[in-house]
Amino acid sequence: MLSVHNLCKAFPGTVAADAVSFELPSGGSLGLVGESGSGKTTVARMLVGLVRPDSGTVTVDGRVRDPRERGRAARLRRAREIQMVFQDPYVSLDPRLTAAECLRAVLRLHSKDRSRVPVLLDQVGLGTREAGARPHQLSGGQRQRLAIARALAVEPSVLVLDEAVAALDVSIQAQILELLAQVRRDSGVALLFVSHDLAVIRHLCEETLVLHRGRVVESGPVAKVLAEPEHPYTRLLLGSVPRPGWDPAEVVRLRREMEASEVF
Amino acid sequence: MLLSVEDLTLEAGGRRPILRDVALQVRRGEIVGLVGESGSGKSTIARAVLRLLPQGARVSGRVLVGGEDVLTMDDARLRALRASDVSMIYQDPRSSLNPVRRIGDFLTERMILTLGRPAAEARSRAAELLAAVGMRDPERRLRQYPHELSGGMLQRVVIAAALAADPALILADEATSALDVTTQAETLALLRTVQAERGLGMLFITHDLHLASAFCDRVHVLYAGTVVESRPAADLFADPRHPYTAGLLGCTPELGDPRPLRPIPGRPPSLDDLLPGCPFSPRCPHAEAECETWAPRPVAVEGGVAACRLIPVAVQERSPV
Repeated sequence: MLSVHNLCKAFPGTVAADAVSFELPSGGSLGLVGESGSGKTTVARMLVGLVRPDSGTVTVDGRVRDPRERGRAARLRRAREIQMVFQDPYVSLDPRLTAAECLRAVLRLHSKDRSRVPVLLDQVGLGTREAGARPHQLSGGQRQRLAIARALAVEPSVLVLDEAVAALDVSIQAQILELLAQVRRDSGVALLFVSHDLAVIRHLCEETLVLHRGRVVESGPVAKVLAEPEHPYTRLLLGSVPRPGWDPAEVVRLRREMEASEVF
Repeated sequence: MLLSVEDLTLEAGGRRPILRDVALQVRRGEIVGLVGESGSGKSTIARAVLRLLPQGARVSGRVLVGGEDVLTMDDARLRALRASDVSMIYQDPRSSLNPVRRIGDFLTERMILTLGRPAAEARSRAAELLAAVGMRDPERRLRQYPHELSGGMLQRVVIAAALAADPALILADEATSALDVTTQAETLALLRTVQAERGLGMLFITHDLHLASAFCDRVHVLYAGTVVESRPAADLFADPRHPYTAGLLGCTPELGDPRPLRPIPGRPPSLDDLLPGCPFSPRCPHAEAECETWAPRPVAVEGGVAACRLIPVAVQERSPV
Protein backbone atom coordinates (compact mmCIF):
# COMPACT_ATOMS: atom_id res chain seq x y z
CA MET A 1 0.00 0.00 0.00
CA LEU A 2 1.40 3.35 -1.10
CA SER A 3 0.19 6.48 0.59
CA VAL A 4 1.26 9.95 -0.51
CA HIS A 5 0.41 12.87 1.70
CA ASN A 6 0.68 16.58 0.81
CA LEU A 7 3.79 16.36 -1.37
CA CYS A 8 5.10 19.81 -2.27
CA LYS A 9 8.03 20.76 -4.45
CA ALA A 10 8.95 24.14 -5.88
CA PHE A 11 11.69 24.88 -8.37
CA PRO A 12 12.81 28.46 -9.02
CA GLY A 13 9.93 30.09 -10.86
CA THR A 14 7.54 27.12 -10.83
CA VAL A 15 5.60 24.95 -8.43
CA ALA A 16 6.03 21.37 -9.64
CA ALA A 17 3.88 19.78 -6.95
CA ASP A 18 1.35 21.57 -4.79
CA ALA A 19 -0.06 19.43 -1.96
CA VAL A 20 -0.33 16.24 -3.99
CA SER A 21 -1.99 13.40 -2.06
CA PHE A 22 -3.20 10.00 -3.18
CA GLU A 23 -3.33 6.34 -2.20
CA LEU A 24 -2.51 3.24 -4.18
CA PRO A 25 -3.69 -0.05 -2.62
CA SER A 26 -1.57 -3.22 -2.84
CA GLY A 27 -1.90 -4.67 -6.31
CA GLY A 28 -3.81 -1.60 -7.51
CA SER A 29 -3.15 0.55 -10.54
CA LEU A 30 -3.15 4.32 -10.71
CA GLY A 31 -2.59 6.52 -13.75
CA LEU A 32 -0.98 9.92 -13.24
CA VAL A 33 -1.94 11.98 -16.26
CA GLY A 34 -0.80 15.44 -17.30
CA GLU A 35 1.08 17.42 -19.92
CA SER A 36 4.62 18.74 -19.81
CA GLY A 37 5.00 21.03 -16.82
CA SER A 38 2.15 19.36 -14.93
CA GLY A 39 4.57 17.96 -12.36
CA LYS A 40 3.83 14.30 -13.04
CA THR A 41 7.47 13.32 -13.48
CA THR A 42 8.52 15.31 -10.40
CA VAL A 43 5.92 13.43 -8.34
CA ALA A 44 7.19 10.09 -9.69
CA ARG A 45 10.78 11.05 -8.91
CA MET A 46 9.88 12.12 -5.39
CA LEU A 47 8.30 8.70 -4.79
CA VAL A 48 11.51 6.85 -5.61
CA GLY A 49 13.70 9.43 -3.89
CA LEU A 50 15.38 11.01 -6.91
CA VAL A 51 13.93 14.40 -5.96
CA ARG A 52 13.61 15.45 -2.34
CA PRO A 53 10.21 16.98 -1.54
CA ASP A 54 9.99 20.38 0.20
CA SER A 55 7.33 18.88 2.44
CA GLY A 56 4.96 15.92 2.60
CA THR A 57 5.41 12.21 3.14
CA VAL A 58 5.51 9.00 1.11
CA THR A 59 4.47 5.89 3.05
CA VAL A 60 4.81 2.31 1.81
CA ASP A 61 3.16 -0.51 3.78
CA GLY A 62 2.89 1.73 6.83
CA ARG A 63 6.55 2.83 6.85
CA VAL A 64 7.46 6.44 5.99
CA ARG A 65 10.18 6.66 3.36
CA ASP A 66 12.96 8.84 4.65
CA PRO A 67 15.79 9.48 2.16
CA ARG A 68 17.97 10.79 5.00
CA GLU A 69 18.04 7.36 6.56
CA ARG A 70 21.52 6.19 5.56
CA GLY A 71 23.16 2.82 5.21
CA ARG A 72 23.02 -0.16 2.91
CA ALA A 73 20.11 -1.92 4.60
CA ALA A 74 17.87 1.15 4.49
CA ARG A 75 18.76 1.82 0.84
CA LEU A 76 18.02 -1.73 -0.21
CA ARG A 77 14.77 -1.73 1.71
CA ARG A 78 13.70 1.48 -0.08
CA ALA A 79 14.57 -0.18 -3.38
CA ARG A 80 12.34 -3.14 -2.51
CA GLU A 81 9.49 -0.79 -1.69
CA ILE A 82 9.42 1.10 -4.99
CA GLN A 83 11.09 0.40 -8.33
CA MET A 84 11.03 2.68 -11.36
CA VAL A 85 11.03 2.13 -15.12
CA PHE A 86 11.98 5.12 -17.26
CA GLN A 87 10.93 6.21 -20.75
CA ASP A 88 14.27 5.40 -22.33
CA PRO A 89 15.78 2.23 -20.87
CA TYR A 90 18.88 2.80 -22.99
CA VAL A 91 20.20 5.29 -20.47
CA SER A 92 19.09 3.38 -17.38
CA LEU A 93 20.75 0.04 -18.25
CA ASP A 94 24.46 -0.62 -17.88
CA PRO A 95 25.79 -0.87 -21.46
CA ARG A 96 28.51 -3.37 -20.45
CA LEU A 97 26.20 -5.99 -18.94
CA THR A 98 24.26 -8.58 -20.87
CA ALA A 99 20.59 -8.98 -19.98
CA ALA A 100 21.32 -12.02 -17.80
CA GLU A 101 24.26 -10.30 -16.05
CA CYS A 102 22.13 -7.25 -15.41
CA LEU A 103 19.49 -9.33 -13.61
CA ARG A 104 22.12 -11.41 -11.78
CA ALA A 105 23.70 -8.22 -10.42
CA VAL A 106 20.39 -7.00 -9.01
CA LEU A 107 19.57 -10.38 -7.48
CA ARG A 108 23.02 -10.57 -5.87
CA LEU A 109 22.69 -7.03 -4.48
CA HIS A 110 19.42 -8.00 -2.81
CA SER A 111 20.71 -11.44 -1.69
CA LYS A 112 18.11 -13.23 -3.75
CA ASP A 113 18.28 -16.54 -5.54
CA ARG A 114 20.36 -15.96 -8.68
CA SER A 115 18.91 -19.00 -10.42
CA ARG A 116 15.74 -16.96 -10.96
CA VAL A 117 17.33 -15.18 -13.96
CA PRO A 118 15.74 -17.45 -16.63
CA VAL A 119 12.36 -17.24 -14.86
CA LEU A 120 12.50 -13.44 -14.86
CA LEU A 121 13.56 -13.30 -18.51
CA ASP A 122 10.75 -15.67 -19.42
CA GLN A 123 8.26 -13.63 -17.43
CA VAL A 124 8.91 -10.59 -19.66
CA GLY A 125 9.11 -12.61 -22.86
CA LEU A 126 12.89 -12.55 -23.44
CA GLY A 127 14.58 -15.71 -24.72
CA THR A 128 18.06 -17.21 -24.49
CA ARG A 129 19.36 -15.12 -27.42
CA GLU A 130 18.36 -11.90 -25.63
CA ALA A 131 19.82 -13.19 -22.34
CA GLY A 132 23.33 -12.94 -23.80
CA ALA A 133 22.77 -9.58 -25.53
CA ARG A 134 23.95 -6.19 -24.30
CA PRO A 135 21.50 -3.23 -24.36
CA HIS A 136 22.69 -1.92 -27.75
CA GLN A 137 21.97 -5.34 -29.29
CA LEU A 138 18.35 -5.22 -28.13
CA SER A 139 15.44 -3.39 -29.76
CA GLY A 140 13.59 -0.61 -27.90
CA GLY A 141 10.80 -2.96 -26.87
CA GLN A 142 13.23 -5.64 -25.68
CA ARG A 143 15.17 -3.06 -23.64
CA GLN A 144 11.93 -1.98 -21.99
CA ARG A 145 11.16 -5.66 -21.22
CA LEU A 146 14.60 -5.98 -19.61
CA ALA A 147 14.06 -2.80 -17.57
CA ILE A 148 10.76 -4.26 -16.31
CA ALA A 149 12.44 -7.59 -15.45
CA ARG A 150 15.18 -5.75 -13.60
CA ALA A 151 12.59 -3.83 -11.57
CA LEU A 152 10.60 -7.02 -10.83
CA ALA A 153 13.74 -8.89 -9.73
CA VAL A 154 13.68 -7.21 -6.31
CA GLU A 155 9.96 -8.03 -5.90
CA PRO A 156 8.89 -4.46 -5.15
CA SER A 157 5.56 -3.43 -3.64
CA VAL A 158 5.13 -0.63 -6.17
CA LEU A 159 6.33 -0.24 -9.75
CA VAL A 160 6.51 3.36 -11.02
CA LEU A 161 6.54 3.68 -14.81
CA ASP A 162 7.33 7.12 -16.20
CA GLU A 163 6.14 7.36 -19.84
CA ALA A 164 7.40 3.79 -20.17
CA VAL A 165 5.69 3.09 -23.50
CA ALA A 166 5.76 6.60 -25.01
CA ALA A 167 8.85 6.05 -27.17
CA LEU A 168 7.76 2.70 -28.59
CA ASP A 169 6.07 1.87 -31.90
CA VAL A 170 2.33 1.28 -31.61
CA SER A 171 2.53 -2.48 -32.15
CA ILE A 172 5.34 -2.82 -29.56
CA GLN A 173 3.55 -0.48 -27.13
CA ALA A 174 0.58 -2.87 -27.10
CA GLN A 175 2.86 -5.82 -26.30
CA ILE A 176 4.38 -3.96 -23.32
CA LEU A 177 0.96 -2.87 -22.03
CA GLU A 178 -0.24 -6.48 -22.13
CA LEU A 179 2.94 -7.55 -20.35
CA LEU A 180 2.39 -4.99 -17.57
CA ALA A 181 -1.22 -6.06 -17.07
CA GLN A 182 -0.08 -9.68 -16.86
CA VAL A 183 2.77 -8.90 -14.45
CA ARG A 184 0.31 -7.15 -12.18
CA ARG A 185 -2.08 -10.13 -12.26
CA ASP A 186 0.71 -12.64 -11.59
CA SER A 187 2.88 -10.87 -9.03
CA GLY A 188 0.40 -8.53 -7.34
CA VAL A 189 2.73 -5.55 -7.72
CA ALA A 190 0.96 -2.17 -7.64
CA LEU A 191 1.43 -0.02 -10.74
CA LEU A 192 1.80 3.74 -10.81
CA PHE A 193 1.68 4.66 -14.45
CA VAL A 194 2.75 8.17 -15.44
CA SER A 195 1.65 9.22 -18.91
CA HIS A 196 0.30 11.99 -21.10
CA ASP A 197 -1.83 9.44 -22.97
CA LEU A 198 -5.36 9.11 -21.62
CA ALA A 199 -6.15 6.10 -23.81
CA VAL A 200 -3.16 4.16 -22.43
CA ILE A 201 -4.17 4.98 -18.85
CA ARG A 202 -7.76 4.02 -19.61
CA HIS A 203 -6.48 0.67 -20.77
CA LEU A 204 -4.10 -0.14 -17.94
CA CYS A 205 -5.36 1.59 -14.80
CA GLU A 206 -8.34 1.45 -12.47
CA GLU A 207 -7.87 4.84 -10.86
CA THR A 208 -6.53 8.09 -12.27
CA LEU A 209 -5.25 11.43 -11.09
CA VAL A 210 -5.21 14.45 -13.40
CA LEU A 211 -2.38 16.88 -12.71
CA HIS A 212 -2.28 20.45 -13.97
CA ARG A 213 0.49 22.87 -12.98
CA GLY A 214 1.45 20.78 -9.97
CA ARG A 215 -2.05 20.45 -8.62
CA VAL A 216 -4.44 17.49 -8.61
CA VAL A 217 -7.47 18.87 -10.48
CA GLU A 218 -9.46 15.65 -10.64
CA SER A 219 -9.23 12.06 -9.43
CA GLY A 220 -11.30 8.91 -9.25
CA PRO A 221 -12.03 5.69 -11.13
CA VAL A 222 -10.73 6.01 -14.70
CA ALA A 223 -14.05 5.12 -16.33
CA LYS A 224 -15.89 7.74 -14.31
CA VAL A 225 -13.33 10.53 -14.78
CA LEU A 226 -13.29 9.97 -18.54
CA ALA A 227 -17.06 9.58 -18.87
CA GLU A 228 -18.04 12.51 -16.66
CA PRO A 229 -15.06 14.89 -16.44
CA GLU A 230 -15.78 17.65 -13.96
CA HIS A 231 -12.77 19.93 -14.24
CA PRO A 232 -12.44 22.09 -17.39
CA TYR A 233 -8.84 20.93 -17.80
CA THR A 234 -9.87 17.26 -17.85
CA ARG A 235 -12.46 18.17 -20.52
CA LEU A 236 -9.74 19.94 -22.51
CA LEU A 237 -7.45 16.89 -22.29
CA LEU A 238 -10.24 14.55 -23.35
CA GLY A 239 -11.28 16.82 -26.22
CA SER A 240 -7.70 16.77 -27.51
CA VAL A 241 -7.66 13.03 -28.19
CA PRO A 242 -8.11 12.39 -31.95
CA ARG A 243 -11.09 10.20 -32.86
CA PRO A 244 -13.40 9.78 -35.86
CA GLY A 245 -15.29 12.99 -36.61
CA TRP A 246 -12.91 14.97 -34.39
CA ASP A 247 -12.66 18.71 -34.88
CA PRO A 248 -9.43 20.16 -33.45
CA ALA A 249 -11.06 23.61 -33.49
CA GLU A 250 -13.27 22.39 -30.64
CA VAL A 251 -10.12 22.18 -28.48
CA VAL A 252 -9.44 25.89 -29.01
CA ARG A 253 -12.93 26.57 -27.59
CA LEU A 254 -12.35 24.24 -24.60
CA ARG A 255 -9.07 26.03 -23.85
CA ARG A 256 -10.87 29.39 -23.77
CA GLU A 257 -13.49 27.89 -21.48
CA MET A 258 -10.79 26.65 -19.12
CA GLU A 259 -8.93 29.96 -19.10
CA ALA A 260 -12.21 31.77 -18.35
CA SER A 261 -12.83 29.41 -15.41
CA GLU A 262 -9.34 30.07 -14.04
CA VAL A 263 -9.98 33.80 -13.80
CA PHE A 264 -12.72 33.26 -11.25
CA MET B 1 -2.54 16.79 -59.67
CA LEU B 2 -0.28 18.64 -57.25
CA LEU B 3 1.88 15.73 -56.15
CA SER B 4 1.99 12.39 -57.89
CA VAL B 5 4.42 9.69 -56.79
CA GLU B 6 4.56 6.86 -59.31
CA ASP B 7 6.20 3.47 -58.73
CA LEU B 8 8.85 4.97 -56.50
CA THR B 9 11.46 2.38 -55.53
CA LEU B 10 14.49 3.39 -53.51
CA GLU B 11 17.40 1.21 -52.50
CA ALA B 12 20.34 2.22 -50.36
CA GLY B 13 22.42 -0.73 -49.31
CA GLY B 14 20.07 -2.71 -47.05
CA ARG B 15 18.91 -6.22 -47.87
CA ARG B 16 15.53 -4.87 -48.92
CA PRO B 17 14.57 -1.59 -50.65
CA ILE B 18 13.64 1.33 -48.36
CA LEU B 19 10.64 2.01 -50.63
CA ARG B 20 8.98 -0.45 -52.99
CA ASP B 21 6.68 0.65 -55.84
CA VAL B 22 5.15 3.47 -53.82
CA ALA B 23 2.27 5.30 -55.52
CA LEU B 24 0.34 8.20 -54.02
CA GLN B 25 -1.32 11.45 -55.06
CA VAL B 26 -2.10 14.75 -53.35
CA ARG B 27 -4.57 17.15 -54.92
CA ARG B 28 -4.84 20.86 -54.27
CA GLY B 29 -6.80 21.52 -51.09
CA GLU B 30 -6.43 17.95 -49.89
CA ILE B 31 -4.82 16.49 -46.75
CA VAL B 32 -3.33 13.07 -47.39
CA GLY B 33 -2.09 10.99 -44.48
CA LEU B 34 0.92 8.68 -44.50
CA VAL B 35 0.92 6.29 -41.55
CA GLY B 36 3.55 3.78 -40.52
CA GLU B 37 5.82 2.61 -37.72
CA SER B 38 9.52 3.40 -37.50
CA GLY B 39 11.44 2.14 -40.51
CA SER B 40 8.34 1.97 -42.72
CA GLY B 41 9.80 4.61 -45.06
CA LYS B 42 7.29 7.40 -44.43
CA SER B 43 9.87 10.13 -43.89
CA THR B 44 11.88 8.86 -46.86
CA ILE B 45 8.88 9.52 -49.12
CA ALA B 46 8.54 13.10 -47.85
CA ARG B 47 12.25 13.70 -48.33
CA ALA B 48 12.16 12.22 -51.82
CA VAL B 49 9.62 14.92 -52.77
CA LEU B 50 12.44 17.42 -52.12
CA ARG B 51 15.01 15.05 -53.68
CA LEU B 52 16.75 14.69 -50.32
CA LEU B 53 17.85 11.11 -50.89
CA PRO B 54 20.02 8.84 -48.75
CA GLN B 55 23.64 8.66 -49.87
CA GLY B 56 24.27 6.24 -52.69
CA ALA B 57 20.56 5.65 -53.22
CA ARG B 58 19.35 3.95 -56.38
CA VAL B 59 15.99 5.36 -57.35
CA SER B 60 13.45 4.41 -59.95
CA GLY B 61 9.99 5.78 -60.63
CA ARG B 62 8.77 9.35 -60.76
CA VAL B 63 7.95 12.08 -58.23
CA LEU B 64 5.88 14.70 -60.01
CA VAL B 65 5.22 18.08 -58.41
CA GLY B 66 2.90 20.13 -60.61
CA GLY B 67 3.68 17.71 -63.46
CA GLU B 68 7.50 18.10 -63.25
CA ASP B 69 9.67 15.17 -62.19
CA VAL B 70 11.66 16.18 -59.12
CA LEU B 71 14.08 13.26 -59.55
CA THR B 72 15.30 14.42 -62.98
CA MET B 73 14.92 18.22 -62.92
CA ASP B 74 18.03 20.40 -63.17
CA ASP B 75 19.64 21.95 -60.10
CA ALA B 76 18.32 25.48 -60.66
CA ARG B 77 14.76 24.24 -60.94
CA LEU B 78 15.26 22.01 -57.86
CA ARG B 79 16.47 25.00 -55.84
CA ALA B 80 13.39 26.97 -56.90
CA LEU B 81 11.15 24.04 -55.96
CA ARG B 82 12.72 23.74 -52.51
CA ALA B 83 12.63 27.52 -51.99
CA SER B 84 9.05 28.19 -52.94
CA ASP B 85 6.87 25.36 -54.26
CA VAL B 86 7.17 22.82 -51.45
CA SER B 87 7.68 23.42 -47.71
CA MET B 88 8.56 20.84 -45.09
CA ILE B 89 7.63 21.02 -41.40
CA TYR B 90 9.69 18.72 -39.17
CA GLN B 91 8.93 17.19 -35.79
CA ASP B 92 11.25 19.18 -33.57
CA PRO B 93 11.01 22.94 -34.14
CA ARG B 94 14.13 23.52 -32.03
CA SER B 95 16.25 21.70 -34.57
CA SER B 96 14.87 23.86 -37.41
CA LEU B 97 15.76 27.17 -35.79
CA ASN B 98 19.18 28.63 -35.12
CA PRO B 99 19.26 29.21 -31.35
CA VAL B 100 21.45 32.34 -31.59
CA ARG B 101 19.36 34.12 -34.25
CA ARG B 102 16.11 35.99 -33.64
CA ILE B 103 12.73 34.70 -34.86
CA GLY B 104 12.61 37.64 -37.28
CA ASP B 105 15.93 36.66 -38.91
CA PHE B 106 14.70 33.10 -39.32
CA LEU B 107 11.52 34.21 -41.05
CA THR B 108 13.00 36.89 -43.32
CA GLU B 109 16.22 35.12 -44.33
CA ARG B 110 14.70 33.10 -47.15
CA MET B 111 12.54 35.98 -48.37
CA ILE B 112 15.52 38.33 -48.62
CA LEU B 113 18.29 35.98 -49.74
CA THR B 114 16.43 33.52 -51.96
CA LEU B 115 13.36 35.38 -53.13
CA GLY B 116 15.11 38.78 -53.31
CA ARG B 117 12.54 40.84 -51.41
CA PRO B 118 13.50 44.15 -49.77
CA ALA B 119 14.26 43.79 -46.04
CA ALA B 120 11.47 46.09 -44.82
CA GLU B 121 8.87 44.32 -46.94
CA ALA B 122 10.11 40.92 -45.75
CA ARG B 123 9.81 42.07 -42.15
CA SER B 124 6.24 43.28 -42.44
CA ARG B 125 5.36 40.07 -44.29
CA ALA B 126 6.95 38.05 -41.45
CA ALA B 127 4.80 39.93 -38.92
CA GLU B 128 1.71 39.21 -41.03
CA LEU B 129 2.58 35.53 -41.13
CA LEU B 130 3.00 35.33 -37.35
CA ALA B 131 -0.41 36.98 -36.96
CA ALA B 132 -1.83 34.46 -39.45
CA VAL B 133 -0.61 31.54 -37.32
CA GLY B 134 -2.37 33.01 -34.29
CA MET B 135 0.53 34.60 -32.41
CA ARG B 136 -0.25 37.69 -30.39
CA ASP B 137 2.04 40.72 -30.60
CA PRO B 138 3.99 39.58 -33.71
CA GLU B 139 6.36 42.58 -33.68
CA ARG B 140 7.68 41.55 -30.26
CA ARG B 141 7.94 37.89 -31.34
CA LEU B 142 10.17 38.89 -34.26
CA ARG B 143 12.71 40.26 -31.79
CA GLN B 144 12.67 37.17 -29.54
CA TYR B 145 15.03 34.20 -29.55
CA PRO B 146 13.89 30.55 -29.88
CA HIS B 147 14.59 29.76 -26.19
CA GLU B 148 12.05 32.40 -25.15
CA LEU B 149 9.18 30.53 -26.82
CA SER B 150 7.43 27.29 -25.88
CA GLY B 151 7.50 24.25 -28.19
CA GLY B 152 3.97 24.94 -29.42
CA MET B 153 4.75 28.59 -30.18
CA LEU B 154 7.97 27.60 -32.00
CA GLN B 155 6.05 25.10 -34.13
CA ARG B 156 3.77 28.03 -35.12
CA VAL B 157 6.88 29.98 -36.13
CA VAL B 158 8.00 27.02 -38.26
CA ILE B 159 4.54 26.85 -39.86
CA ALA B 160 4.71 30.59 -40.56
CA ALA B 161 8.10 30.07 -42.21
CA ALA B 162 6.68 27.22 -44.28
CA LEU B 163 3.98 29.58 -45.56
CA ALA B 164 6.40 32.44 -46.26
CA ALA B 165 7.06 31.56 -49.89
CA ASP B 166 3.42 30.77 -50.70
CA PRO B 167 4.02 27.06 -51.36
CA ALA B 168 1.42 24.88 -53.05
CA LEU B 169 2.39 21.77 -51.10
CA ILE B 170 3.22 21.27 -47.41
CA LEU B 171 5.02 18.18 -46.16
CA ALA B 172 4.33 17.77 -42.43
CA ASP B 173 6.66 15.07 -41.03
CA GLU B 174 5.38 14.21 -37.52
CA ALA B 175 4.85 17.97 -37.23
CA THR B 176 2.78 17.73 -34.04
CA SER B 177 4.09 14.50 -32.50
CA ALA B 178 6.45 16.16 -30.04
CA LEU B 179 3.81 18.57 -28.74
CA ASP B 180 1.51 18.11 -25.75
CA VAL B 181 -1.88 16.68 -26.70
CA THR B 182 -3.76 19.93 -26.19
CA THR B 183 -1.09 21.92 -28.05
CA GLN B 184 -1.15 19.30 -30.80
CA ALA B 185 -4.89 19.78 -31.25
CA GLU B 186 -4.53 23.57 -31.39
CA THR B 187 -1.68 23.34 -33.89
CA LEU B 188 -3.74 20.99 -36.06
CA ALA B 189 -6.69 23.38 -35.96
CA LEU B 190 -4.32 26.09 -37.20
CA LEU B 191 -2.79 23.87 -39.90
CA ARG B 192 -6.24 22.96 -41.17
CA THR B 193 -7.32 26.61 -41.25
CA VAL B 194 -4.31 27.85 -43.24
CA GLN B 195 -4.50 24.80 -45.50
CA ALA B 196 -8.18 25.43 -46.29
CA GLU B 197 -7.78 29.20 -46.71
CA ARG B 198 -4.92 28.85 -49.14
CA GLY B 199 -6.12 25.69 -50.85
CA LEU B 200 -2.83 23.94 -50.04
CA GLY B 201 -2.12 20.29 -50.60
CA MET B 202 -0.68 18.57 -47.56
CA LEU B 203 1.13 15.29 -47.03
CA PHE B 204 0.62 14.58 -43.34
CA ILE B 205 3.02 12.00 -41.93
CA THR B 206 2.34 10.39 -38.58
CA HIS B 207 2.72 7.14 -36.63
CA ASP B 208 -0.76 7.65 -35.14
CA LEU B 209 -3.50 5.96 -37.17
CA HIS B 210 -6.25 7.52 -35.06
CA LEU B 211 -4.85 10.98 -35.66
CA ALA B 212 -4.48 10.39 -39.39
CA SER B 213 -8.04 9.15 -39.78
CA ALA B 214 -9.38 12.10 -37.79
CA PHE B 215 -7.36 14.77 -39.60
CA CYS B 216 -6.85 13.59 -43.19
CA ASP B 217 -9.10 13.14 -46.22
CA ARG B 218 -7.33 10.01 -47.45
CA VAL B 219 -4.76 7.81 -45.73
CA HIS B 220 -1.98 5.58 -47.00
CA VAL B 221 -0.71 2.92 -44.62
CA LEU B 222 2.92 2.01 -45.10
CA TYR B 223 4.67 -1.18 -43.99
CA ALA B 224 8.32 -2.01 -44.71
CA GLY B 225 8.44 0.49 -47.59
CA THR B 226 5.26 -0.81 -49.24
CA VAL B 227 1.89 0.96 -49.31
CA VAL B 228 -0.38 -1.76 -47.91
CA GLU B 229 -3.64 0.18 -47.93
CA SER B 230 -4.91 3.48 -49.43
CA ARG B 231 -8.44 4.51 -48.51
CA PRO B 232 -10.59 7.49 -47.55
CA ALA B 233 -9.86 8.15 -43.86
CA ALA B 234 -13.35 7.30 -42.57
CA ASP B 235 -13.51 3.98 -44.48
CA LEU B 236 -10.05 2.98 -43.33
CA PHE B 237 -10.99 3.51 -39.73
CA ALA B 238 -14.42 1.88 -39.88
CA ASP B 239 -13.54 -1.05 -42.10
CA PRO B 240 -9.81 -1.74 -42.55
CA ARG B 241 -9.09 -4.24 -45.31
CA HIS B 242 -5.40 -4.99 -44.89
CA PRO B 243 -4.52 -7.20 -41.89
CA TYR B 244 -1.77 -4.72 -40.89
CA THR B 245 -4.21 -1.79 -40.77
CA ALA B 246 -6.65 -3.93 -38.79
CA GLY B 247 -3.76 -4.97 -36.53
CA LEU B 248 -2.72 -1.36 -35.90
CA LEU B 249 -6.28 -0.40 -34.97
CA GLY B 250 -6.63 -3.50 -32.80
CA CYS B 251 -3.52 -2.74 -30.76
CA THR B 252 -4.09 1.00 -30.23
CA PRO B 253 -5.73 1.78 -26.88
CA GLU B 254 -8.93 3.84 -27.13
CA LEU B 255 -10.81 6.08 -24.74
CA GLY B 256 -14.07 4.13 -24.88
CA ASP B 257 -14.82 0.94 -22.99
CA PRO B 258 -11.57 -1.00 -22.78
CA ARG B 259 -11.48 -3.89 -25.20
CA PRO B 260 -8.60 -6.32 -24.95
CA LEU B 261 -5.64 -5.10 -26.99
CA ARG B 262 -4.55 -7.54 -29.63
CA PRO B 263 -0.85 -6.83 -30.06
CA ILE B 264 0.73 -7.63 -33.41
CA PRO B 265 3.37 -10.26 -32.62
CA GLY B 266 7.01 -9.66 -33.55
CA ARG B 267 8.53 -6.30 -34.44
CA PRO B 268 8.54 -3.97 -37.44
CA PRO B 269 11.13 -5.26 -39.97
CA SER B 270 14.51 -3.58 -40.27
CA LEU B 271 16.35 -2.91 -43.53
CA ASP B 272 18.28 -6.13 -43.00
CA ASP B 273 15.20 -8.33 -43.06
CA LEU B 274 14.85 -9.92 -46.47
CA LEU B 275 11.16 -10.12 -47.33
CA PRO B 276 10.63 -11.80 -50.68
CA GLY B 277 6.83 -12.00 -50.50
CA CYS B 278 4.27 -10.00 -48.58
CA PRO B 279 6.34 -8.08 -45.99
CA PHE B 280 3.65 -8.47 -43.34
CA SER B 281 3.29 -12.24 -43.72
CA PRO B 282 5.66 -13.17 -40.81
CA ARG B 283 3.42 -11.22 -38.38
CA CYS B 284 0.07 -11.73 -40.08
CA PRO B 285 -2.59 -13.83 -38.29
CA HIS B 286 -4.19 -14.85 -41.62
CA ALA B 287 -0.97 -15.61 -43.53
CA GLU B 288 -0.79 -18.73 -45.69
CA ALA B 289 2.29 -20.37 -47.17
CA GLU B 290 1.74 -18.66 -50.54
CA CYS B 291 1.85 -15.21 -48.88
CA GLU B 292 5.60 -15.66 -48.29
CA THR B 293 6.25 -15.57 -52.01
CA TRP B 294 3.39 -13.34 -53.22
CA ALA B 295 4.77 -9.98 -54.39
CA PRO B 296 2.37 -7.37 -52.99
CA ARG B 297 0.26 -5.50 -55.53
CA PRO B 298 -2.72 -3.21 -55.01
CA VAL B 299 -6.11 -4.94 -55.09
CA ALA B 300 -9.19 -2.75 -55.56
CA VAL B 301 -11.38 -2.49 -52.45
CA GLU B 302 -14.18 -0.11 -51.55
CA GLY B 303 -12.89 3.47 -51.95
CA GLY B 304 -9.28 2.54 -52.66
CA VAL B 305 -6.74 -0.27 -52.73
CA ALA B 306 -5.19 -2.77 -50.33
CA ALA B 307 -2.19 -4.98 -51.06
CA CYS B 308 -3.26 -8.31 -49.63
CA ARG B 309 -3.42 -11.66 -51.36
CA LEU B 310 -6.35 -12.75 -49.21
CA ILE B 311 -8.62 -9.80 -49.95
CA PRO B 312 -11.40 -11.82 -51.63
CA VAL B 313 -11.37 -14.23 -48.70
CA ALA B 314 -10.96 -11.45 -46.18
CA VAL B 315 -14.14 -9.80 -47.46
CA GLN B 316 -16.15 -12.86 -46.46
CA GLU B 317 -14.36 -13.79 -43.27
CA ARG B 318 -13.31 -10.43 -41.97
CA SER B 319 -12.98 -10.55 -38.21
CA PRO B 320 -14.76 -7.66 -36.47
CA VAL B 321 -12.39 -4.85 -35.51
